[in-house]
Amino acid sequence: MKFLMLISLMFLAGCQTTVEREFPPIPPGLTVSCEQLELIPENTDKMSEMLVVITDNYSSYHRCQAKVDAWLMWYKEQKEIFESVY
Amino acid sequence: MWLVGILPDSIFYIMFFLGLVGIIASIFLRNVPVINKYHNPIFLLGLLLAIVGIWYAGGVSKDREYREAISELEVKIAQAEKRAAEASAKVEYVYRDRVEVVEKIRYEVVGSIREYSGELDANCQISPKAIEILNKSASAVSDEDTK
Repeated sequence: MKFLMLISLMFLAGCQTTVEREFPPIPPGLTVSCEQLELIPENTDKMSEMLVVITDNYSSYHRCQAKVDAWLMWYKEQKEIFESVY
Repeated sequence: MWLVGILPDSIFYIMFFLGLVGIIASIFLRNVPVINKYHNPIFLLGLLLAIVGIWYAGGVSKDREYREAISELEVKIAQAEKRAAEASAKVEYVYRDRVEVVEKIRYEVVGSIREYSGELDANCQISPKAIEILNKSASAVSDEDTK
């Protein structure tokens, strides 16, 4: 009788269904870290050479700023899309 | 409830119907001589069939409801994944555009520096200390870290 009760319980068991969801793709340009700043060569004696290095470093900062802004924009948009589903 | 997925839905409605027929038949069989001895088994069988049938009919109904919800969710997810890919492409485009502007400005500024290098370098002496200080700022390494 106990065996029959156990078997009957099997017929009541439910199944779980999982709906797969893929992680949103990350823009390829954002997967690389910000670059290191350049150093001025120690034997530099020209102002113009120093200014070029400083300009390069400013550009590096602006590229990095663009990257961080892009990440923030990506996160905000993906969050909105994610929340619109559930 | 996994039976719901294996057997056709109609079988549970048929079970319920047969169960009801069995219960009703058992009531009439009680008054028929000779076969009235089967009254109890037929009644119990009918009751069992009716209970199992109604139980699984409910399961079928819920299962259908869940399947519809899952299909709806799958459609929503497919749309969301498409939108997510589009949003990523848009972000990439905006980022590349900004980097292009930064590069253009850098090119212009470096061009100006080269153009005026004679003037800039003419009366300017650069102290090695200034370079050391600037490099320290660029490398973001403190004196304590270098020790």
